[in-house]
Amino acid sequence: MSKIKEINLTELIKPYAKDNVWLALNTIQNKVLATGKTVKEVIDNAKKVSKEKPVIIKAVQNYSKYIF
Amino acid sequence: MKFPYTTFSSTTPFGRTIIDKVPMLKIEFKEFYLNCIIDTGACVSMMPAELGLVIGLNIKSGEPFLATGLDNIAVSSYIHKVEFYIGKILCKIEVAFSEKFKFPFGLLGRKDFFDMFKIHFYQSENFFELETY
Repeated sequence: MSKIKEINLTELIKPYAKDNVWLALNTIQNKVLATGKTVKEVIDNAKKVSKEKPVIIKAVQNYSKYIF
Repeated sequence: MKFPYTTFSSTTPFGRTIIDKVPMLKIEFKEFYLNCIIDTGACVSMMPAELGLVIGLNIKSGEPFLATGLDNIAVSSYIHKVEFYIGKILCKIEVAFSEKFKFPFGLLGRKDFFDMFKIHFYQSENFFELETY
């Protein structure tokens, strides 16, 4: 089977990782729409700037703590 | 349905930065999508309690559940049936919500979710595939 392109969140998340905030990404996950300290806050902030349904993930410095 | 793998930056205990590739799926709720890792090692799906509140759950009204991880520390949580979409497919699965579960994404574990889908991993080709039974 042929390879397909993975979603690379490495560079997108990097500027926010120290802040440990939730991110609202656009649907294709190549742009940060909004940030927030809580899930509710990030969804509310995303609604203010975009009609797109956001993709939620938290920015952390080291994902290896969570991926075994 | 085919989905691409997602890459993250991770740091090893020896300080080396590596790029990790994981099977991550965005599941659709009414107002947002949540990124979740498909976790073959998890018996149940788990999500942070604050996310449960956003989708309208009274967390402590669920069935109490003690989830134990690799470090053998039990995390108290509450199980609820949760509905979301993957593409056009409505999923209804048990999810444990915990205030102590501070993960940056959701975990899709074996119970219910793996009963709904055959899951094929094609890591070297950068994708995974879900197929309904």
